[in-house]
Amino acid sequence: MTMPIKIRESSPLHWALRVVGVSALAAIAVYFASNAAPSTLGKITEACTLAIAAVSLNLLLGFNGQISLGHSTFAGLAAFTAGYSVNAWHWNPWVSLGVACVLCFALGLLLGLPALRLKGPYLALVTLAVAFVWPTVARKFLQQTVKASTLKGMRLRPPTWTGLANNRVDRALFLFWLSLVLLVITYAIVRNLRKSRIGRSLVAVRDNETAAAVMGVNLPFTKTVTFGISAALAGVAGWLAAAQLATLDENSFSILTSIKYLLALFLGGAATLAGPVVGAFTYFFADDLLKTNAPKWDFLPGPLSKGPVASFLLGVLVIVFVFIAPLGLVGFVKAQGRKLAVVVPPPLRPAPKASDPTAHASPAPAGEVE
Amino acid sequence: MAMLDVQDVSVSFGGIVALNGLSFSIEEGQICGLIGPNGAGKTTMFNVISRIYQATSGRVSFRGHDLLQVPAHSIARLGIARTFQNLALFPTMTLLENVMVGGHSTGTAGFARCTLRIRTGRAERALRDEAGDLLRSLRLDHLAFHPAAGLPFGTLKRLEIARALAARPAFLLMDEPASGLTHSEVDELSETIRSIRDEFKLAVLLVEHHMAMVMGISDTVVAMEFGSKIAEGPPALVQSNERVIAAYLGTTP
Repeated sequence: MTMPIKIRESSPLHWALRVVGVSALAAIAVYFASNAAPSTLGKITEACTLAIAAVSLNLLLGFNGQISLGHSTFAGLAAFTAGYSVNAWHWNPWVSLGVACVLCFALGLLLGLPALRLKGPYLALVTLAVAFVWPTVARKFLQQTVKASTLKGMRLRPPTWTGLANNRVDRALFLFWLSLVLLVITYAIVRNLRKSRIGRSLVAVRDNETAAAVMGVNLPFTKTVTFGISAALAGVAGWLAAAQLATLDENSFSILTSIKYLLALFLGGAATLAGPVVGAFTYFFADDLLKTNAPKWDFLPGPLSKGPVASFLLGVLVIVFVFIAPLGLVGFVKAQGRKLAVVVPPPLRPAPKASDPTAHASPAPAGEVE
Repeated sequence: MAMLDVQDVSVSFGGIVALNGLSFSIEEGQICGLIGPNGAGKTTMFNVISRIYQATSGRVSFRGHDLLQVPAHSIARLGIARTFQNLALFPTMTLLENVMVGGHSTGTAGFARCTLRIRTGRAERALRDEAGDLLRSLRLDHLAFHPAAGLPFGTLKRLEIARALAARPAFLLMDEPASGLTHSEVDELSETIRSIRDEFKLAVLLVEHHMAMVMGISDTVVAMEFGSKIAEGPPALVQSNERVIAAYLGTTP
């Protein structure tokens, strides 16, 4: 068989590969759920939370071309909404998830308005300002309104139908599954959007606004609603973070959090569906590994040897990465994998016979991939 | 009544008058050539019709709609499509996807329906089939799954036409479709324009510098100079009009 092997999209073979892939991922999840320690599960939960935020940013930045450094603010708003409403007002946490998403959607629409007039670095600056203002707003809120007892994250009690008890081990297990389910839902939303009429219009807006408008894409509506949806999905990540944190303070969702989302996105590959998920897991576990195994650089003079070696190494890793795989991990793997196998889209409808313009099933040469 | 009726349209940018009381009309199924020296205001007129520029005064009506009241993203739904002089394609998308975006205005699925995939499959397949047919009629089907970036200029010009046709327009605006093409490509293009007019039953407004081509395929020609119309009529008449000759070649004092 000649290389690369051609696999037709949605053919039985393609479906079989998809099923195998998804089953393998599910098997890994089940393996961890039954064998891993609660602390490991907690780490995976954190990585999933980061992945949700990166996926939400990918919708906005990767597919629609609007940059946001303010996604930490959406996550922060959702986390504070959840933490405060659950602790101070004794809301149902699930209700707080809905409210947090709606609030984030609204704030996203609002931020989408200046985004209509600004592009690239200018939009980055405006969203950067929002990310900077957030800790100050949060601190004021904490000082004036909040009793110490309500400065907590929320504690999610596993529903009875799960058969899980309300203790530390089972709660970790519940959060692990919950974060996976929320990640799958977020991923599905972005995937469905990308592979639809609206998804094409988002990419068209990114590639050429004027042409997209002439084709009938309503620019203000499309851009603001995309900003809103992306913000609401970032809110899901923030809500999930509130379920993991013991305390909430104003520095939980600073500009550094936004940078982390961006790094995860670009590490995995922006404008690819799997990129942000792969990037988030890679970033989180590389960071974790370096933190626990950071070498002691005693040979370096003075403060350098005591500095944050792990962060430094992570920075170097990211820079090296940008050179090796500028399109991210997923882009890199795709480019290499293309030498082995390619997924070929289904052929175009064959040309109708000249004598009968309504006949479609003619043996005329179909659109063959070159 | 004419399909497109431009009445007394003026456009000025600051103190510079780009269009000065221009009037003309186009009938259904007609190919109209818009000619004039550089800076005559042809592209400005074009951008007024496709709602990229705002007219300072005047009226433009299309099939009874007041075009100047319609936002830019709604003209495709009325049946107006255009191509761009210097290419305005979506470089990261495949040729097929480019043409499918061209058919955006024929679809109805919004954010909610696309997120939940409610009744989207059939329309997607129909749009894909139609886009494939358009690629074939412009002899681009062998490149359907190739990204637009990096393809030859002449190929991308044909892609612009295929993308515009995907909106099922009744009126196609073409901004210098022959610019940058080789001699044989221009001949081919004339043939393409005439055949798409006949096949899709649409009217064409052609802004073009290539005189032989304009005169060869237009039913009527509007000649402009300094933002005003100097002649209008069948190609032969416009070609022999003294003011048109003077505008292009200059006059001896």
